[in-house]
Amino acid sequence: LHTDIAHRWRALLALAAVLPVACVDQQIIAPKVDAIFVQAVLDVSTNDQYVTVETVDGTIKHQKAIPGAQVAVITPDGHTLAAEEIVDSETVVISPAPRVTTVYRLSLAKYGVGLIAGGAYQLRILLPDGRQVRGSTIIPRFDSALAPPTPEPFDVSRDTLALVWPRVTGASGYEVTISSQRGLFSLFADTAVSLAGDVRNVDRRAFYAGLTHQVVVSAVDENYYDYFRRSTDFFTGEGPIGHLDGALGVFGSIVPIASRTLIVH
Amino acid sequence: MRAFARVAPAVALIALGHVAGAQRPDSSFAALRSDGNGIPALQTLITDGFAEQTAAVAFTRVATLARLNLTLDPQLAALSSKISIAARPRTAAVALVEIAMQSHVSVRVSTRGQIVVGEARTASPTRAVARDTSISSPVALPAMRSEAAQFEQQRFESTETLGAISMTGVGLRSAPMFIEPDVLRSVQLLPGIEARSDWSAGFNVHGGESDQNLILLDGYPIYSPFHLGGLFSTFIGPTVGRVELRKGSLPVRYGGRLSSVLDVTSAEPLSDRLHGTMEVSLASAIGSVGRTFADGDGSWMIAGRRTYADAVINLYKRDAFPYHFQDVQAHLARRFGNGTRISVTAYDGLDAGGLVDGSQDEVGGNWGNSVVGVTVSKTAVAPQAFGRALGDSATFEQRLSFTRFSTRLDVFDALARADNRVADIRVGGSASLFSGSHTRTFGYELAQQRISYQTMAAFSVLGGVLPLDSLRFRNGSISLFADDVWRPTAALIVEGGLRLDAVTPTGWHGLSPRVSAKYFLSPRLAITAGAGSYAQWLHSLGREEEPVQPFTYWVGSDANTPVSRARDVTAGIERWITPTRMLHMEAFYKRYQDLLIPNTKDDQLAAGDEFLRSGGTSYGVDFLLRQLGSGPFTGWIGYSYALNTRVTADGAHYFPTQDRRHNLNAVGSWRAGQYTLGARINLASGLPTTPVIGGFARSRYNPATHRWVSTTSTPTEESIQGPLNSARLPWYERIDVSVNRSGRLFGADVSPYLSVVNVLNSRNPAAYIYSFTGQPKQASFPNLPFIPTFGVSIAY
Repeated sequence: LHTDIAHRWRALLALAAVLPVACVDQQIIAPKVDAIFVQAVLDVSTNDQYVTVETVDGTIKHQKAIPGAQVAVITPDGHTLAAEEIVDSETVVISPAPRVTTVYRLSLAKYGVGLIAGGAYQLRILLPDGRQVRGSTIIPRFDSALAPPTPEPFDVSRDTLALVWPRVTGASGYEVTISSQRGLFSLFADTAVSLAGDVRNVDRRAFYAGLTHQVVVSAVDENYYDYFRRSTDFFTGEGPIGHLDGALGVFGSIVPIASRTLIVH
Repeated sequence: MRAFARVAPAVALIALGHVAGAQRPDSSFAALRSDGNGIPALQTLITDGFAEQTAAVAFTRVATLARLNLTLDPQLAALSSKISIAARPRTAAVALVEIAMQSHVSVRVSTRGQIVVGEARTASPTRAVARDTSISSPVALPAMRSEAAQFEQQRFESTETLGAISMTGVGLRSAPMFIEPDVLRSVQLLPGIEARSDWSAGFNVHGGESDQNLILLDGYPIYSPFHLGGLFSTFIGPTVGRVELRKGSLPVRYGGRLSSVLDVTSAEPLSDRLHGTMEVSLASAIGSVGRTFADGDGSWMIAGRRTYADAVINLYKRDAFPYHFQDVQAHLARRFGNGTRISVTAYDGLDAGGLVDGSQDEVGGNWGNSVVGVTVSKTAVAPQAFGRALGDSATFEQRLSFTRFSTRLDVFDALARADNRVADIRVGGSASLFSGSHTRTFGYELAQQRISYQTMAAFSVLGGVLPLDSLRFRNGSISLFADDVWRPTAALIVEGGLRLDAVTPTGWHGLSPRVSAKYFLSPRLAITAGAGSYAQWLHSLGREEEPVQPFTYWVGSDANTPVSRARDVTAGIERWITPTRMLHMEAFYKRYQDLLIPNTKDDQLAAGDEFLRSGGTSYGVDFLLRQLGSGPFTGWIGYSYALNTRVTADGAHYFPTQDRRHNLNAVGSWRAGQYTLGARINLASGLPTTPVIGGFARSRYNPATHRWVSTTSTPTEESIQGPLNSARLPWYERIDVSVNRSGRLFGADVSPYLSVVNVLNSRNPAAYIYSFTGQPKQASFPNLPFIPTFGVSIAY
């Protein structure tokens, strides 16, 4: 019944949107943007940090990776860690198929260092054409790495996932991600969340029967939080909030603070 | 006509008006407008010169004029030497009433002769002539139009009218309409007023933000008077007696807003016979009923409205269209023989969509306003306090009201929830003392607002339409004001006042001085000037940039949200070209301080970042040529030029979204026999808009796989904006037409109407929507397209 009501409500909203849209005038435009787009996140739970560097001309299909860039992260103690350029088909996974692209991998193990809780890191990118990108992040404080979670059964028709976590110094927000073979469901919350088995957002469900789901709660820094906490405004076109100098995108940091593995049925 | 003579006794009512701005228009005067039963309630006013005396005479039954017998209230016996009244019925159609007064007295005269209702202030004889045109036009009600001209003339002659426009409910309904008559949409047609889009019944006044308008129902605040996302206002057509809009130089009795006051006065029935109206439009059905009682000293009216699309569709499939809105409004007024008057207004409105019963599994919401207010006023002759005379007469008023606004939306298991509640309780009062050339008013107002704003969403696709935040406020305000309307000479009116507001919990307190003057260059030509200071401590999180603003998201002032200030200066000229045609021009300059602009980067989990402090200016000029009266044509041409700028805290200047430079509205209605034709032509320059210059695909980081992934089946498209409001939408062009036929059917007045919005189907974008995923496109989110609507109004 609830699903039917939700569907009817969505149909009503769609109808309300379609009525005016049916009268719209459309015209082809030619964007003339010459921007750099960078996505970089320092994740304390992994040794390999990936940075994507792309060109943006305003048209999505023209967005492509930039090879030949010099990507480096400067640690709190001033050491420069250079990232290596690789061609990879797994780092950037855009449905329905992985995208083979150039990415920049920073292997902390190669330098024998780890990410420091509360540390301030800087990102430096020098493009082949001389343009530069700068960013900085302060990693939220954390105590220790998470232990691998024990799989738990989860009944989508009956169970509710309730998570509570403590505040983390330096965190601007907390992201809850639920990933499975059907994709990624994510949301931001304060220090607790309660998700029913049939919970969904606009375009996807959180849980799918028959699949294993990885649930991760991450404390995130201000850059990450600002960049991902909102989408482009439908009417005004205001997009994500970026803090990079010289590029669109993000250089942020996250600290996974809780995780669960759910065998959903 | 014989039926008229049989039905009721003659009633002649003389309501002698008040001194400038000291009181609201007397309700009996307003009631003249709406007899509602098709029997003419006629009044014509002739005054000698342009002195302050005003008079309105209504005869509901012409056949009994011969028995007109005017007597005085016993309380006025002592003043009888100063008053002479003579009624000399000349014919069945014309009666002459002469009143000569030598001092300031309050008098009401009726055939039964008992009650004080008003005041006239003149040392020269006043002559009022009542002329009943029911002989020539027993069904049509031209009096409704002549009353409008009369009221405006009274205002011109007796008050400072800076920035004030008054319209009757009938006048507002004469313009072409969208689906059904709507007060707020009609107000948008006046000069100095503009709307962000056709999808909102909200409006901007003289360049101010849309939350800077104080909207009152019979003097009681109403916070978000909209239905269906702003397409309709909450005011039910038949209940609207008069609308008064003040665009600047606000008198000190109004506080808490920076830009304007819109006061909607309830209609009061005139007939002692139970009567009412039924109206059916494409959207809703409206019913009203009312009558007078206590020999015309009291009246009541109740009206309701409900949309019916859900009921019709549900006949075919249950719960297929789970949305409706409804209103109910009641107004009761009673006047007593000792000069006391009590009025009560109650309103309750609701929008309901989907099924919300407390469960977290459902989708939908409800929102609405409730208002209850009571006003007690008393007019006293030769009042005294502590042995001292307070003046020739005085009016004391005490008001108490409770207003509630509540919004609740639930989407998908509480992943998005909006809950905004405002509870406003206020008590206020005033004493207006009339003496000599002065009218002094002293008043107070104590108000408290409890505001809760809890809007959370796990996803942000709702964008700025639904601001996300979690806030609570408990604001209180204490206000004192004093005002003096001084008429040192017959040609000059000066009004000066001072308002003191203290606001908790901010601890803010401030003085708001206001002064205005009007100088009559001739009996039909006056110049005006005014200046004022204003404060506002309730703000809206709603963003002007959004073409659709379903609600006004109210929050209060606190340590993070300062009290906003504004100062304005106005100057104007008003000329009555003929007794029914007036020309009004007004220039304004307004400067804002601590203006709060919603922060587009607001974090829903953080408090204190909801607004950005801003400053700014607005200046411009309004032009209004208005045809009133009982002739076949009524209407107006209004033009506004305005220039608005805002400056951010770091000194950046930009044009706010409401910065419409040119706005021309021509509105008219022509009566031709049983038909009334209406037309509205609107031409307006484009509003500022922020261009979107490109897009990019954003991925999400999956901490479980350490991969960048997409959360949707296609890359998430994000926009790249150009400079803020650096482009403009194209010019807005729109022509609306309507036709209304008046007739009688089964003893009732039946008026079917057809109205066509945007008859030329002009493409007027309200915003642009961009897509960069495939071939980059710019699509316009349109304003109202060609929409024919029809309905019928039945008065019985």
